[in-house]
Amino acid sequence: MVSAHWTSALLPVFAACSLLAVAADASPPAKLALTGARIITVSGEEIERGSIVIEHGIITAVGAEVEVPFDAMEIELDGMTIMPGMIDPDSFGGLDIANESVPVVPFLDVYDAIDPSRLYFEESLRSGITSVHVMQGPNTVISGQSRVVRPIGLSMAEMSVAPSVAIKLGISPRSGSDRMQQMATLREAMRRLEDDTLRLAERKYEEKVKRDGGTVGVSPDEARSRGRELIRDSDHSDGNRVLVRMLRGDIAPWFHASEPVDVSAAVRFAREHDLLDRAVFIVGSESHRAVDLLKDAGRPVVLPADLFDRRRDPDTNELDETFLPAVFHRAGIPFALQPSPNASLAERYLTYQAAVCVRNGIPRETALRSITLTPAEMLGLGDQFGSIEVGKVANLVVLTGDPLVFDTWVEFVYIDGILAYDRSRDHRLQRMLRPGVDDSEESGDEGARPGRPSAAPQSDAAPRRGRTRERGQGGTAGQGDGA
Amino acid sequence: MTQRFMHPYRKNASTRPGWMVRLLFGCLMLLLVVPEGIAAAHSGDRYAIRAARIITSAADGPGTFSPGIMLVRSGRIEQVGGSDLVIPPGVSIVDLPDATIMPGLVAARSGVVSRHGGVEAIGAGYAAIDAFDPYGDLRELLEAGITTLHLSPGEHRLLSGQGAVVRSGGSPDERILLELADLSINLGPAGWSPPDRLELLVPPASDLSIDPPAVQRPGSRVTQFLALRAAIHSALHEDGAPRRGTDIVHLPALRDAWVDVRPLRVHADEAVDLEGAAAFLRAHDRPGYIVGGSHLTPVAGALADAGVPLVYGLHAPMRRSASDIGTDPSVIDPDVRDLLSAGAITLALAPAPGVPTADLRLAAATVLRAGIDERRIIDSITRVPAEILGVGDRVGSLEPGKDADFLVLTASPLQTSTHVMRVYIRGRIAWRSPASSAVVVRAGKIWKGPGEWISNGSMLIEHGRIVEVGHRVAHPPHAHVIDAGPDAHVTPGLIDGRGHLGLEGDNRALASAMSPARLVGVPDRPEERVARSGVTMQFVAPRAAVNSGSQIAAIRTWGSGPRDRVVAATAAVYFDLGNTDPLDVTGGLQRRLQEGRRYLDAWNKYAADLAAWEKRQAEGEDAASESRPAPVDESVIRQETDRITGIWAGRLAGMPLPEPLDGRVSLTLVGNQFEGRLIEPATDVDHSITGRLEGDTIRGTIELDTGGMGSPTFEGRFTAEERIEGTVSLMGFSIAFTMNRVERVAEARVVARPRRAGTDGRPSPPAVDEGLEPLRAVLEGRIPLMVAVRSAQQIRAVVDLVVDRSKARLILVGAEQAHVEAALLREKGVGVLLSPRAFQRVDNRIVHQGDRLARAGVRTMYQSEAEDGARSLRDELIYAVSRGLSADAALASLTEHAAMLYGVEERIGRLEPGRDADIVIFSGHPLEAGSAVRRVIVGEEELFP
Repeated sequence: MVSAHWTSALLPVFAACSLLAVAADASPPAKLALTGARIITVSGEEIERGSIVIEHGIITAVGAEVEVPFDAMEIELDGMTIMPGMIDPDSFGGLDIANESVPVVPFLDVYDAIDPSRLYFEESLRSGITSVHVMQGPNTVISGQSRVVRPIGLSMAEMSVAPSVAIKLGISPRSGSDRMQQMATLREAMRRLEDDTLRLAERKYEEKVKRDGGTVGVSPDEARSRGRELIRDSDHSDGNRVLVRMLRGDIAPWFHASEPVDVSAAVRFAREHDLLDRAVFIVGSESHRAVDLLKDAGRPVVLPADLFDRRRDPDTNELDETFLPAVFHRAGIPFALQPSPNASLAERYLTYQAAVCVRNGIPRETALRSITLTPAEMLGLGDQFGSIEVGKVANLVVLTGDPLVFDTWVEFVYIDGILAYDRSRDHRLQRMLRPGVDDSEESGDEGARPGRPSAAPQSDAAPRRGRTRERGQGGTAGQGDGA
Repeated sequence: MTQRFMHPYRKNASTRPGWMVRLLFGCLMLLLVVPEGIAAAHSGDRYAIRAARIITSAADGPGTFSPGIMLVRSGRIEQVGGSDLVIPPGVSIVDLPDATIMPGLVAARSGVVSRHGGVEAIGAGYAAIDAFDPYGDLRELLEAGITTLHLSPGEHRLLSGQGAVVRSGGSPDERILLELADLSINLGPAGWSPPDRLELLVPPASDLSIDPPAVQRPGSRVTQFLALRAAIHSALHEDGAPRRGTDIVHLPALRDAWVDVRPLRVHADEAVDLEGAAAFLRAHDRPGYIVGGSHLTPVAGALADAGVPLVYGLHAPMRRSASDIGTDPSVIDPDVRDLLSAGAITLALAPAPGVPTADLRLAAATVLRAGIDERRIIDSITRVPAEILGVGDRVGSLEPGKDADFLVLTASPLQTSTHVMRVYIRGRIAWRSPASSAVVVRAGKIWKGPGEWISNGSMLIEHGRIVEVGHRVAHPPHAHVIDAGPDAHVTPGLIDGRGHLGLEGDNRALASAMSPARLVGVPDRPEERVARSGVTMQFVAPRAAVNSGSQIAAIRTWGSGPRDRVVAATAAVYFDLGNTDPLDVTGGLQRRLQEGRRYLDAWNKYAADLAAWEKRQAEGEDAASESRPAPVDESVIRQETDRITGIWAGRLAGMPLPEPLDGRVSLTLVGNQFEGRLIEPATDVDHSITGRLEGDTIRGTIELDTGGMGSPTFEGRFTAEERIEGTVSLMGFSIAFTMNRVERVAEARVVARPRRAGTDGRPSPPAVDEGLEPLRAVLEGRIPLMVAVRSAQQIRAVVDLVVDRSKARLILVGAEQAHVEAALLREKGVGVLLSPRAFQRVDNRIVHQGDRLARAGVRTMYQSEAEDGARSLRDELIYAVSRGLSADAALASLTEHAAMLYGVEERIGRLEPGRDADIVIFSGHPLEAGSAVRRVIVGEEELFP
């Protein structure tokens, strides 16, 4: 999983990634004010025409009657809509490979395998995603630790937002395995942890007694229970330490349970190990059949990209279609939507997924929440991300219209108050949309051939839609454009 | 009451058919749409289920109740008993009068979960329950009646893991009966030489070497017990996690299982392993049982003595041929058979590996071949395996307090043709057979036709038609099976040769153009009464016949509506000659047949013309160049059955006529309008007369060239039946007239009508005369002519007229003297419609006309001459039988002969493939006074008496 030469690999990428690189490089303007736009706060009422003031990447004021500080750079966004940056709740898109061949790897960290030059991040940014929860893929038993990253930056250090957020516990059998093996492996790992811990406790107790100059005069069981308190995190092996933190609640267990049967096994496992408090269930398209169990569990779920379950009755051949979010909404279970990994589908836009929800009877607030605040809360980052509120990180998406309308474009994306994306300077998009470009000319992944000079027109080809007035010091985030 | 077959389900209901029937159908349809609805309605509360037979499988008690009643409450069985069991008031009743109920089958071995893919020889951590999907669809097993099954982690390792016991249906949270049921131990070659186990160090460490893959034990029979004991010892006595390099993993799981005294499920086939298994169980003093046993003979007795239960694998090569090199063809080991027969061994039957789990019931039935008692076999696939698996307190038998997991079967469980109709799990319907219109009727006697009784026969009905009749007909899956019992007699529905059902007391005649079929509607109480008496078909005639011939319609006494019920709108034409003048015995009939003949000729001519024309067209001749056929005269014949039509002789008298003027007119009534012409005084121009009949009054005009004075009008009224008096007026003058009808038949008038020149010269058909259409059918031989006759002279004359001269089929009605001309009737194929009371006194002896004619070879049938009084037709014949009438002859007359005489034998009258499924099930011979009508099936509908 270690991406050994990422630095050298990145160098040639630099030029092509100017879009990202520049944004990440730029330090946020000290004060920024986005004015005149409709603001979808998600946490509260929508503001028809309001302003957001950002200081050092944090939202300091939101509202219709906000006074713009004299020294803020004001960006007028008349007619535009601002919503919180969206969150991709479970993705391996940024990893060099999705899975390990070894089933139990809690000691690993996706940090080592995230490739900042992945087109995935650029795509995420383009669709308004400002936080990505990078997890190992579903082909695991106990995965490495996940991270929340922002899709800008040239290195993991720049990208990483929150480390060791979660561990994926694979309940659905990984490929080449069956359910009995999967569960036996999982249980075996937990039993091994317990055994290791007991032995460690015994050893610690013996050491302590030895240090104190006494003799171990108690039974092994007693020694173990006494020794438990003496164990420090650093005493554990790498893998066990992570699992202990998970059992303690520091790291969230995310259960990959794609079938209803896996959901019941996952809930049972979570209960057995007292993991339910922070558990999140990544469910599949048939999970609505196990909705009662999930309701009992009272924990949020990550829904699959395909929001419909279609089943044929084997007797009547009648098609039965279930809209998953409706089932979970009725049950009162918070859910996060996922973009489809298939780039050819409209489902790759979280806004589209939310729009499908609204179309199928989910309240608009719930639908918007399921791509912003709900995943943020699932990740334990609800106090930082997911809504437009004073004190939260200024991860904002500026749209040309309502997010749930399909012809709405993402115009700007602000991450930590930095202008991370500007459609007028999205060369790849410009190039794709330029009329008369032959597909054959476009063949090949530009990201894969970074040295190729961009034939796209420069930023002046597209008119600027937001008018920037400088008040005091601070340049636009895009000052490095054309480097 | 009545019901569709697809819902062999009956609720208590009143017997008000009309709307009730529809309501019930509606409800049943609703049930079909929301099968869960009924399940929900059952859940929680109480209900009683009533069936022909309940097999309890209980260890003690009668074992079978027939009929049986079972009370279910909140998913558990409350009470089971025979018909004496009192159903508390207010408890809804599920009535399954044909069904057999038994506990859900318990498959002590199943292939539902495939074996795990782990390599460990001792893998106690593998739990079969992990691979079980409680949301899964196991309808294949439910359909096979298996409600409880054992899940095995596999039989491929020495200790392959832990088994589970689950249900195959019901709500997901109720499906798991035992999560960790047993430790699965496999002796014999299957468990030997497990694959090598490679343990990777993750994360790698510098101080630990990477070992080559470890060879696991056991490698042979010698080491299998050693390996087991070592594993158990390690689990119990070693602390902590396994040492590196050991071949035993999952020690904590094994420790837990052992400490919890989980039963040992030992698979063994070879005698040596079986012996070892028994010794192992004994040595460790563990509860357990043995699965398998192809070679049991040497050790069977020892096992039985040791009290070790056995799950015996049945090799039932039913879906494929057996392997060429195989075992003894006996279904069960002889020693095991003896022990089982003697009840000396606790034995459950289960499918052997490779035999589909769903075949359990059929495989168990093969054990009957070994001469084992049916009850013991049923126990060994229900209660005994449940007890062996450790769930005997919940499932496996129908006893108070146990879960209501039971099957609704069409017949005895071990019969090959038996199907599962429904599966209840925890008192709710978990599976029901898809709706099917197929019905199988079984009975001790089936009357296929005269002289063709089938003993212990069965018949298959689909979509209201008979598909197969024989000793063992096909039993399609999901078919509803009616087992009427060994004493039951099944016959075709009885046929009433003439009755008046549906006329509701109307005594009037119907016009010859009108069929009684038009009066048919949804059956009501009278129809139901008749149908329930076994009469499924009545030939309905108006009470009074018109002289021009009344139509008789073939009407089923039951059905959903006219479309179902009307078999033939015009099944016969009926004339009543009455006591006609002995010199003109066939009088009106002869004239009417002549009219019919002319009408038929017109049609035949048309048909010939059309054929010729089509031939010319086909030959491609240019129709335009051909000289058109000369205009064809077309005869239009009017009839005389009304008050006007005929020849009237009249006299005009009074001012200003100098002397009375006599004349004759011919008039024809059509509807209430008449037209005619002046016959005398004859003129060379036709003077036509048109007018209307209003009550007793006629009004009209005479077309007469009066030189601009207009046409004379007339007005008159009937002063007697055939006399009209009135006035003729012209320009304000009126002259009185009187007319008397001198001839009833209008003068046959030839209307010369130039044929309308079609563009292609196609001949146009004659006008359809609804009144003559039936006669046309008669003359074409399609339907019979029925004539009520009295004297032998009449019989001869009518036979001569109808059969010889008109070439039509004839049925005589009444015909007290028929026996006199019996030879003639037989020769001419003339049938006789008799009253059941047609007794005659011959030489001081009472003889029934039916017998006399039957012996003379004349076909007869019987008429009720009643509406719902037709329900006593069978009773009247029973009386006749008691007075000496041949029951066989009477039954033939009531069924096939009646159908043949009417020419509908292709549809009814016999129980023959392709015919309508109009059948009656009697408790004994239909003409036995003590025989009750058990059931009546009319097409797709069924009536319960």
